[in-house]
Amino acid sequence: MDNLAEQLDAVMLSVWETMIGTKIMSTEVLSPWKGETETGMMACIQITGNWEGAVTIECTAAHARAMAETMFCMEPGEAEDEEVIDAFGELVNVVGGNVKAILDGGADLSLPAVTTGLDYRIVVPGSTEACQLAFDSEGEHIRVGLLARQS
Amino acid sequence: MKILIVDDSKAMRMIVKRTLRQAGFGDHDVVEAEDGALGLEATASESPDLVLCDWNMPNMSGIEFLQALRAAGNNIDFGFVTSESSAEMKAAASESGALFLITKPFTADSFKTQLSKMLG
Repeated sequence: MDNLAEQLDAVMLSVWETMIGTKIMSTEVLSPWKGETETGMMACIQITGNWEGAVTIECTAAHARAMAETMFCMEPGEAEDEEVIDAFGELVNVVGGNVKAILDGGADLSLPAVTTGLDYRIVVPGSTEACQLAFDSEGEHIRVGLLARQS
Repeated sequence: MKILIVDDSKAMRMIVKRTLRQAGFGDHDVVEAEDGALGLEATASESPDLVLCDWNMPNMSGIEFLQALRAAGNNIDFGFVTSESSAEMKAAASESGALFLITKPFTADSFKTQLSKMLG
């Protein structure tokens, strides 16, 4: 794991522990993974400035809902779709803000965007994958990606 | 005391309220707003004693909200709770009159450290 990946790994562990109260564990990036055959959810936030790119987080929509319900202290099935999107978007917002601090060159952070469905893909024009990590969260797979745009 | 929490994320507003309780500040009144513009309205209608505000929000950002408050002569205690914490942002926050900047993700201890002087 290179230095950037190590720092992103630390950010993910910290965010999940403090915001959700869950200890996640680094794991191998699975391909294919459940998010390709079940409804998935992806959150994305872009960084612009001296360093440009995006941070993405994805998992199954069912797990995103479970995490949101934990954050809102709700019973299973209680969260509205908008609450799930809000919570998932805030997770990528916090991870993105910390990534921006690590890169020390980003000037601005966008507002988060969240998509859900089957067989979706996200494109940040001109970017390539700088890093991808995966985590086990209570038996569910979470993937975080860092896309770097060539300047 | 009355605390105004300004954040466009309902999830984060809930986490801030929970962390206030965990830090021992659960007996204070809390009101909420979803962005800087609504926060500005809430400072007029609710007269809070302290504002805990996100930075990056639609409609009116946290720093724009703070600058609008100070321009109107309102010197309410104001601190940022934000995922971003660059040196430039800290300087801008301080120059605009913010008392502190708490970085997300945060803990109850970081709330105690920053808020004890104001909330007791």
